[in-house]
Amino acid sequence: MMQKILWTVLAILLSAGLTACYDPEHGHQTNIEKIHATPATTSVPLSSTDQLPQATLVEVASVHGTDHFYVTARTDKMTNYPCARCHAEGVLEREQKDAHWKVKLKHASADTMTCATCHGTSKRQTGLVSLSGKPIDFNRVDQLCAQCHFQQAKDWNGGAHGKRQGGWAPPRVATACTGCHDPHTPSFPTRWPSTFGIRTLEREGGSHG
Amino acid sequence: MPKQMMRFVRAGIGSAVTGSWKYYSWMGLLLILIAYGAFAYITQLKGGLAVTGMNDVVSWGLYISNFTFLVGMAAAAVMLVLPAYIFKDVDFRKAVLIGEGVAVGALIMCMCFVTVDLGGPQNLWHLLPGIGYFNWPDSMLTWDILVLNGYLALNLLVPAYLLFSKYRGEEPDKRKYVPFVILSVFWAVSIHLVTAFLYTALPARPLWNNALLGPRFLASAFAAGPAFILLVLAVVNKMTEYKVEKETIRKLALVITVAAQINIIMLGSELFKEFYHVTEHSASAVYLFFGLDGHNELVPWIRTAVGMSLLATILLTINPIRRKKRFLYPSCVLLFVGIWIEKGMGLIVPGFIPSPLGEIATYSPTWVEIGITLGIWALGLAVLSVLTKVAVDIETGRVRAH
Amino acid sequence: MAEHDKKHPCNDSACRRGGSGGAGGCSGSMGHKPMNRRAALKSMIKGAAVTAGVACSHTSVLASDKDKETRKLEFENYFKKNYRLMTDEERRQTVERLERLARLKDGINLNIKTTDPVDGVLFGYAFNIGKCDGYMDCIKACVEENNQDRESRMQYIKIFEKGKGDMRFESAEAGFYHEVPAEGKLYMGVQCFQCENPPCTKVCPVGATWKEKDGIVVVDYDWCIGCRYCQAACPYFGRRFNWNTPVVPKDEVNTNQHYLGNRIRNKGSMEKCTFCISRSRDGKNPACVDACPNGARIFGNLLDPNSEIRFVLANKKVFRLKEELDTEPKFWYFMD
Repeated sequence: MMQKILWTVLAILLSAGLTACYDPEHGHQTNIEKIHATPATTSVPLSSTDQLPQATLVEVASVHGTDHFYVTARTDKMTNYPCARCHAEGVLEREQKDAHWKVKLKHASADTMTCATCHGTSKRQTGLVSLSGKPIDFNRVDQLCAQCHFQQAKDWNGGAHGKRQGGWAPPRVATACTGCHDPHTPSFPTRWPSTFGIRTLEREGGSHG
Repeated sequence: MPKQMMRFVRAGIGSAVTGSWKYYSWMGLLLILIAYGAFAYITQLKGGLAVTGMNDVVSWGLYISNFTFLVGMAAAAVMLVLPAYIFKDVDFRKAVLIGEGVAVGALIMCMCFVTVDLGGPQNLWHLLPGIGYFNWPDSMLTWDILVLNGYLALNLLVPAYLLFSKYRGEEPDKRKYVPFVILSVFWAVSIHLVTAFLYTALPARPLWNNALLGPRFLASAFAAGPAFILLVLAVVNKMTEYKVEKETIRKLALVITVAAQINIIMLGSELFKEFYHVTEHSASAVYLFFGLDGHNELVPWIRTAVGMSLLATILLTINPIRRKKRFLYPSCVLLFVGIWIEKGMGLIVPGFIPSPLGEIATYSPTWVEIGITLGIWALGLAVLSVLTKVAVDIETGRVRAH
Repeated sequence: MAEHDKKHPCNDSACRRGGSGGAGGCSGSMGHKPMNRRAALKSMIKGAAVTAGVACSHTSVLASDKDKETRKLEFENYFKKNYRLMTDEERRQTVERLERLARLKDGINLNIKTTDPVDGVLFGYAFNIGKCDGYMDCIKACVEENNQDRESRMQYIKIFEKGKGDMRFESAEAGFYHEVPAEGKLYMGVQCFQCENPPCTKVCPVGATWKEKDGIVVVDYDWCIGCRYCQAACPYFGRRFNWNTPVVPKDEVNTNQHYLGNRIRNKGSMEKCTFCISRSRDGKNPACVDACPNGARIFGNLLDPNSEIRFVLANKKVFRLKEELDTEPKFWYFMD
């Protein structure tokens, strides 16, 4: 009787061992492998422009992937634009004194930058100007900032720096540099957090660290 | 046959509700505790599990600790069967009956503990294959549900058959129940391994994710379970005419001793692994045995537990001491309590501390948890008492078919 | 660094847990099986009880029509299937029922979607540790977007403040509250990483949590039995449990919901970050991504070679937490 039982158990174990289909080598596929093994998606039935009905889009050449992406235009929302609006015939001091008189420049140091570094010296400017004097459109302020901040500009162009507008779906609409950084005082000040994290101890009324 | 079964059931119920004043006071006390536990559970149903001390970091506490320990008890009940069958010189039937009564009581407690731990017990029907979704074989919990229920069925049917035969004045047919008894021996090992695998399966918890957890569970169960059964047999010996042979007690004590020794060896192995070269993976063990970042809530508990187990093992190892009842019984109590602490709160709770992101949260059971735990233990003891009373009455011939 | 004179918000009484919720839903039984006498008797009694209950609720002079409809809808809601096994029609009926219940019980008009995953999409996320300054705007936006319980202050996202030179989580602090960024500290955010090989979905006994085709790991809140095995299995502290009935003030409820996402959960149910499934499946960014003023969070389609997330993976030195566990999270970290 015992012998019969033992033989049955042995047979079961052997058949289980031979038919086992667990293959540890094949089991684990990394995400990178999976991404490259899956056919690329070039379009989805969603569009970021659905979320941005009011925006005017400006094309930007891309260093990565598609040949271009977009930023939203600034010039249709700027108040003191174009410069020639006030500076064409000479400014009437009493009327326009506060247009940009109080702007403080805390960007790099006084040895490196003055207002003219980016805005040029001619009052007939329609936009910004590069270090070598070439004109740069206000809507393409990334070309200006990229002169010194080329590493961030490369990242921004690819998408690792900055924020996206309108969601993740193509086409890519990026936020221009000035969308986050005030070009005259670009550094972010310290501030209080907008909420506080919960330490689980506190929920039991335990001691506070 | 069915008519006789009805009479058998009625006789069993009759035996369960009649007894000496000692029996009544014992059952009365248990019923009070059960009622208190029920009241605590209603509080928990109304307020949610927020009334317990559990939180997102320590998400299992007193309930699962007791569940873990009691699965071991249920498995160990069958350790009475194995030596009886191997040694062949003890009264097989008596050992099986009491042991399986303990197993049934422990299994009912296990199922109660898991149910009271659930946040959504009204959704339990979601487990039923067909109308629900039973995630077998991926989820170890589904394995646990299958083996525990199967084991409960085995442990109800075999003694029922034995008692029914005795009730009818017949000799039970060995061919009818011995195969199931052998099956229950293997099944007992599997229920506790499966329960251990619930924890071993989680790479997120380094305290549990090791190969020794399953065997350690078996060793500690086979020490604590038979220790408890030995105490039950002592009570039965004293309070009833159902005499248990000295041989049974002697062999049982030997089984307990060997299991306790293996348990201590395994503990030593775990301590070496955790503390020879301390890494962040040892953080839970450090919290448990030494305290972490000023938090040492569990340290006195674990040190007491290990001390008790160690002392009991030493006493039991020394043959002349083990043979004396006044050392044997307290050693069993020490072993039982020590392993209860170590396997329950000393394993489940520290597994969660620190959290997978290194945060320390403490756990302290509330009155609700303690009340429900007491209530369920009382329920288990009540089931055990009733089953033992009925078994003893039938075996001693006090209750039989006419 | 200035000494803060603000009262630590945890000192106020709102922090203490408490709260009572309603008792669990009704638990009838609708199984049918072949009868013997005893079973027949049992089911007759049960049927009589149910009929009596229904009759009472329909004929009672005290129960209004609103109450009767509410009870009927809750009854139907209790017996619905696992969302995975529902047909599209059943899903539509389910959310309509839930919307109606919200109107009846709370007077709120909800829009609960059942949007399916978009084909050819696998969501990925990148977190720039160099840019995070500990503002926690993401946490605030997440709590508001996802209708998380205010009573237990549930938060899917944790921002850890670490001292430079020690990247261990064990020495990090998530409960900080002072001006940020603090001197000598860096900040690192953690939330559910939507693993491609999730350890949590494997262990659920009722299959209440699973990974969708677009890679989001979701929970069917009404199917969950609250055993918390998934919470024990997650190596990243990604999952949250409703220990009490979740409470969201009526004027703060986000009514744009998804069945598998930010609809309001029940007591005793597990929940987690879903990459804002109600937003991301409509082409929007998760709330945390849009909320971060520093642009520390990057989100997109891993299968689109032109996406920002693919640029990050190809050009930045990325890493993930606990890579050795082979969970394959779809949430990468990098520094500038």
